[in-house]
Amino acid sequence: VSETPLKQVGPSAKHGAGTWKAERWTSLLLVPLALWGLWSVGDIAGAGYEGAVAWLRQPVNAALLLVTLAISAWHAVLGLHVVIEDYLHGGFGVFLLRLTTLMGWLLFAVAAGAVAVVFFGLGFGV
Amino acid sequence: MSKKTAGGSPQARNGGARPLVRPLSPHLQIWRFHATMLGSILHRMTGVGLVAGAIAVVAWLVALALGVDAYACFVAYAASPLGLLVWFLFSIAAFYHLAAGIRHLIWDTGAGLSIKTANALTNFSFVFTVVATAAFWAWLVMTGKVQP
Repeated sequence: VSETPLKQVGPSAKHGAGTWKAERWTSLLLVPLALWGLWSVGDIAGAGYEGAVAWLRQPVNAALLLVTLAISAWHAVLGLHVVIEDYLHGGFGVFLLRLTTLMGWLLFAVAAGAVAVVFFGLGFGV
Repeated sequence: MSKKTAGGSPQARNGGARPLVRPLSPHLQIWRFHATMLGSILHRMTGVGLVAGAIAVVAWLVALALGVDAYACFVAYAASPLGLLVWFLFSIAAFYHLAAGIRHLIWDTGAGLSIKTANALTNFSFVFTVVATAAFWAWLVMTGKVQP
């Protein structure tokens, strides 16, 4: 059906091919990461503060959570950009594109900071 | 927007006199119902919904970082009936977006694009969502991790 094999995607005039590939790669990586996240709910739900801290202090969990959040934020920004571009043209749309990108970075930065606080025990709690 | 604009380059059509008004994407109300149309709408809706879910996960992390009191406060909301409804909707959105996303990755290879197969893949993603969400919550409740 497709006339261009996947390997030959791109180049494009601007960033189109790169965006297309980023959408696919983030999707592909999020398949196992989302399943891991759903599985991890079983370790955290009902485990209380101590249980949640113990879970997050395991290096594998902290690392996978950061990777999952980073790729999710990237994927979400790409997805929201498609929605915005479909329905809003002009200045306000461009403003929202930039705002969603900023929100993606901010959300990840806050999450990474929180993970660091718990992981290294810098916190206000235990 | 109108059919008069068919043919000719965009610039030729408006003579370059005015900023180009390109058509917007088809809006929901003009579509006849079919499986892949519903699948597409749900994929987009769950995608946007998952952003709210991601914010809830970050809120959980922040509460955990703030300490035991903040975490108790977060859990009080998260384990309330309204909180459980939010997590439930989050899980449905996650399972559907996952299944529909895999379906898209299959389509991206050029496979499964006949109407019959495309509909079958879409219907499968609906069934998967219901079964996986039910199994997920049955697991959480039966192992005592969540008290409904």
